[in-house]
Amino acid sequence: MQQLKDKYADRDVEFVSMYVREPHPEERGFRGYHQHETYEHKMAYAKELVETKDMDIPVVVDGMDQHHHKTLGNLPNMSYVVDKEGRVRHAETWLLADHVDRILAELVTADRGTRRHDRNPLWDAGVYANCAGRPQRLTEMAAVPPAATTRMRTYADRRFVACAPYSGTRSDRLRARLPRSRRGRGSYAGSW
Amino acid sequence: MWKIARRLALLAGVHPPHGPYAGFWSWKYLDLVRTARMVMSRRVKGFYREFPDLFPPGSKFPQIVLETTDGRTIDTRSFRGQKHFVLFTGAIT
Repeated sequence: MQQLKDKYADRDVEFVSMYVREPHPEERGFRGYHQHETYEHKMAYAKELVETKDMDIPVVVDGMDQHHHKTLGNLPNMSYVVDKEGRVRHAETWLLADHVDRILAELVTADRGTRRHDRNPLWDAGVYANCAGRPQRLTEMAAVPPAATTRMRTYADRRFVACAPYSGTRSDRLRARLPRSRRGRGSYAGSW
Repeated sequence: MWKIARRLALLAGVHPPHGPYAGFWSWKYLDLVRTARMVMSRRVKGFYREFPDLFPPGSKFPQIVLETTDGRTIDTRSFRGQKHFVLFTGAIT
């Protein structure tokens, strides 16, 4: 999660860890750790975790009544991803960094275009083309009928648009203006 | 083989953690009998059964106001309109 925090450091993403009750106190690998008796006891364990793991992520400590822990699911290692509107985008019983990374990538991508230096006027107009697997210059979109662009309301629609017929390179278009005798070899092909 | 073990555990209603050995790597640090009794208990299975219905994707996340280890207070409502956030639970054991 620390790597994810570093990855999304310059994005509008915050990571918060909530310290809950001990799931395995006094077990084989955790002999020196007991179940919390007081809030100060719990806070001391949380501080020790932060120091041991050298965590940069803020760790909030749930109360002794475990109110928030029970509200969220009462599981030892669950994860929630919440968007800017306060809505849950992802909830999982185990914390899986790659799943969280995928969801955050979607959220951050959806944020693009709202930041001033990311703004592209053609993107705002919903005009973006990837025709036949090759990027098409946005100026060439003038050849696309306006009715087609108004149908591009979602990101999925904007990725692929009906391409204008390929009119060839500039030299092809100039050569087409010449009489057939001046066009060169192959100009009569297909005319039989 | 470990994938099969993991699937069998999930069929039995046991949710091992993700990781090597189908998630059973953590059992090196745990008391096997005590942990097996806990994960097979009706109480813990109930937690996993109820979890998807608690806050499914699209629902409003509850407000959480708690104190951090360095004395600050974090309110999840303060992130609204500002940042996406990831909340995960854990402990030292």
